[in-house]
Amino acid sequence: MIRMRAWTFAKRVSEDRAGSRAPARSGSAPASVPPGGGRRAAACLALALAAMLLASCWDKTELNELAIVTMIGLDEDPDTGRKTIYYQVVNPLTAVTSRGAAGGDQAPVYTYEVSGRSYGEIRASLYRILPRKLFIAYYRAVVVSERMARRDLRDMVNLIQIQPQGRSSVPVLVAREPLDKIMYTLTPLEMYPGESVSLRLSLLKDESLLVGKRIAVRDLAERMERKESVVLPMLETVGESPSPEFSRLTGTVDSRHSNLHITGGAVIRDYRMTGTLDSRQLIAYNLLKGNRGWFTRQFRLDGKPITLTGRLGRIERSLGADSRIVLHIDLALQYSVEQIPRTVEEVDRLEREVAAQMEEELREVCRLGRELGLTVPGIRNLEDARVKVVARLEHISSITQPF
Amino acid sequence: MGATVIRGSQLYFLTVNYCLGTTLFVLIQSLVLAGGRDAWLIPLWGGACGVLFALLWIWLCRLYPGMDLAQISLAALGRPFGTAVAALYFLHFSAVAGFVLRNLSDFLTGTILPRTPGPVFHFMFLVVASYAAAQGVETIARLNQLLTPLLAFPFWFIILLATVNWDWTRFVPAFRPESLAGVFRFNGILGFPFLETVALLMIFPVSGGKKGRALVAGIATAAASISLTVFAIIGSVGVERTAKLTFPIYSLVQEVAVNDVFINIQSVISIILLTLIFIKLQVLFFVAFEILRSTFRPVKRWPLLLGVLLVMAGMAPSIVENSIQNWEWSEKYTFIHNAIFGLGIPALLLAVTLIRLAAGNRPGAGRGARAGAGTRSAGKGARSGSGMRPGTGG
Repeated sequence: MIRMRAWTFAKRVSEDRAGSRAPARSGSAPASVPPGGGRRAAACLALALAAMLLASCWDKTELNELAIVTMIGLDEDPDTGRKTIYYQVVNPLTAVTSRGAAGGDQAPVYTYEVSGRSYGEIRASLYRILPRKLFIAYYRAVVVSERMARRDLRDMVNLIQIQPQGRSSVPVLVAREPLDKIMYTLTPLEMYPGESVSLRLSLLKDESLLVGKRIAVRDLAERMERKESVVLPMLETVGESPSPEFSRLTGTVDSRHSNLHITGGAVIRDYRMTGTLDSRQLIAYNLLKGNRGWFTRQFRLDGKPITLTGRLGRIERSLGADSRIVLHIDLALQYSVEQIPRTVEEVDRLEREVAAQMEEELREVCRLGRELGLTVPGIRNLEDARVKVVARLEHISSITQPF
Repeated sequence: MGATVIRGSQLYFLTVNYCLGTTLFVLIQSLVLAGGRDAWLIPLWGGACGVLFALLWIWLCRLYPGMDLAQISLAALGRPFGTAVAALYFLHFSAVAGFVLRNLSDFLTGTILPRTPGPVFHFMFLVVASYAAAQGVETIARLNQLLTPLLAFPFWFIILLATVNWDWTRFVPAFRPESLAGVFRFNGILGFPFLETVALLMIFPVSGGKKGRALVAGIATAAASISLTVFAIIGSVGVERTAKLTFPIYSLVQEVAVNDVFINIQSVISIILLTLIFIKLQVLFFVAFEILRSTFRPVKRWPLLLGVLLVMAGMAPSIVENSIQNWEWSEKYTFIHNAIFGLGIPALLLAVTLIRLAAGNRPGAGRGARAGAGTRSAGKGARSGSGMRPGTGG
C-alpha cells in the first residue's frame, strides 16, 4: 500500500518536473552533472574509500591478542601511598573446547600484579609484564583491600567509571586479608575465581539476605554522593595456600584446600569503610532496607534452638507519637528444622518469640546507625527510628528446600 | 523550486530526527547539571519555545510561497545583501555540521574506536552525505522515513530494558525552587537543538501537505522524546552519576545486562545514535549545498558538492580543540550564536518584507527572486504579495 503510494507520488513529481524547467535535483536527472561516467566514477571512488577507511585497522583487536580480565584487585599502601592493581587474566589454553580442556594442568587464570605511585603509572608500566592487550569489558568483580577501603575509595570508583569499556555494574568486595593472598587463590567448581564470586553473590542475595542488592561500582558512586551508606560483601581465603599447585587442587575432593569465602559486610560511607557487620546484622540491615530475599536464621524458643526461613512481607513507615519514625515490618516465616509447633498456642508463642528476637536485632542495627554511619532510604536518623515486627508462620510443612 | 517533492509526513520525521540528532549525545549531561532532578522539564519548555520560533519561520515562508531561505533573503534584501545573508547561513550551517562531525568523532574515539583518527569518520560520513545530497531531497526524506522505525523501536526498547535499575527516589525531592531556577536559566536548549531547526527552512518549501503542522509537530515530538530520555536516564542512572558521565546514554545501556546473556548491547545504541547523527549531518550538508546552489546557480553541481565537503571536513577538526571547549561554548554562546541565525535574521527578513508590503512594494518580484526561483514562484509571490494574508505554498 505504502509502496504503491510512493510510486504514484514519484510519478507525479516527475511529470511535474517535466513541465517545469530542467530538473536538477532528481537522481535520474543528469542534466547538470557530468553525464553517467562521472557519477559512476564518483560512486566507485566512494566505495573504494569506504573499503579502505571503514576497515578500521586502527582499532582492530584479535581474540588471541587480548588478555581477558575476570577479576580486578585494587590495593593502596596507606603509609607510602603506593598503589597496586591485580589483574586476574583468563588462561586461554584452559578454555573448554569440544575435546575438553586443552591446557591440562595449567592454572585457569594468571594474576598479574602491577604497582606504581599512581594509576597512570601502573597503566604505563603494565605492558612490561603483560604480553597481551588488556581487555576489561567482561570482568565480574572488583576486590579492594580493607586498608584501602578504610582510607579512601574515591580513586577506585573514578578509575572504573572513566574507562569506556569497564562496566560499572560489577560488584565491589572488600578483602578481609592481604589482597595478594585473595588474588592468588583459586576456587573449586567454577574455573575462574571472578565467576565463582559473582555467582555466589547472586545466590546469597536471593537465598540468604547476607548480601545487599546495590553493591556495584555505580551504586557506590551514587550512594556516596547522596550521603548514604553501602554495605559491601567481604572476602577471605580458606586453606593453607596462596597458590596451590593446580594439579593438586584438581586431584582432591577437599574444597577447603583453596577457596574464597564471602563473609560479613563492610559499611562504606563517604567513600570510607567505617566498620563491619556480622551475618545477623546483615540480615537485619537488609530487612530494614526492604530487601525481599529469603533468609535462614536460628532463633531460640524455650531455650531450645529452632531454625526458620523467612522473608519480608511488608514494610511500612509511619510517624509515631513522639515524632519518631516507626517501622512496621511483617515477616513471613516458613519451615522449621529442629522442632515443629503442634498447637495454635505454640504457633502464637513461636511467632511472638521470633518477632521479639528480630525486633531486638533490628534495633541493634538502628543503634549502630550513628556509630557506623548506616543509612536506610527514607529515614534520616536511623538511630531514632523505632521498629515493630510482626511475624507470621505461613507453612510448617516439611522442608521445601535442600540444605 | 516550488514543486512539491516530499510529503508532510516525511518533513515531520525529518524534523524529529534532525532535532534529536546529536542532542541525545551531547546535551544530556549539561541538562542534568543545570536542572538536577527536574532536568526533564528543560526540553519541554525549550520545545515550547521551539514551536514559537517555528511559527515565526512559517509566517515568513508563507509570505514567500515556494521559496527557500536563500531565495527569500535574495528577494527581501536584494542581490548584494541577500547574497551576504545567504553566505552567512552557509557558514552557519557548515559550522553546525562541524560541531556535529566533531561530536561524532569525539564519541567514537571516546568509546568504541579509541585509536581511529577523527578525520576518517568525518570524511566517510561526508562522502556518503554528499552522495545523498546529489540525489536530492526526495532521496534524503525517503531514506529518513525508512530509517525512523528502525531507530525508534530499538531505541525505546533498550531504554525500557534499562529501567530494571529504576528507582523513584532518584526524583525526590522534586521541583525545589533552586533546581527549577536552574531549569529555566538553561537557555542553551533554545539554541541547540531548537534554533538549529532553521535549517529545515531550506526543505520546508518543497514539502507538500500540511507542512506547517508537520514542522511544529516534529519539534514538539522531538522535545517530548528528549524529555522522556532524560527522565529515563535520571530514573535509571541517577542525577549524581549522570552529571559525571560523558555519555550518560551510552553508560546507561552499557550497564544493562539481560540475564547475563546480552551483556554488551551498547553497540546497538551506538548504531542508533550514529544514524541519527548521520541524518542531521545529511540535512545540514544538503541545506548548505542548496543555499549555494540557489544563490549562485552554477551550471555544474559537483564542484559545489566537493566544496561543501571540503569546507565541512575542514570545519570539523578546527571548530573546537577539545570537548571541554565544546561544553564551554554550548554553555555560554550557543544561544546567542544560534539566535542570530534562527531569530535575528528571520525577524529582519520578516520586518523588511512587512515594511515593503506596507509600502506597496511586492517583494518576491524582484531581481533576486526571479533569478533564484524562476517565474513560477515569482508569480505566486506577486499574488500573495498584495496583502498580509499568507498564501499557502506548494
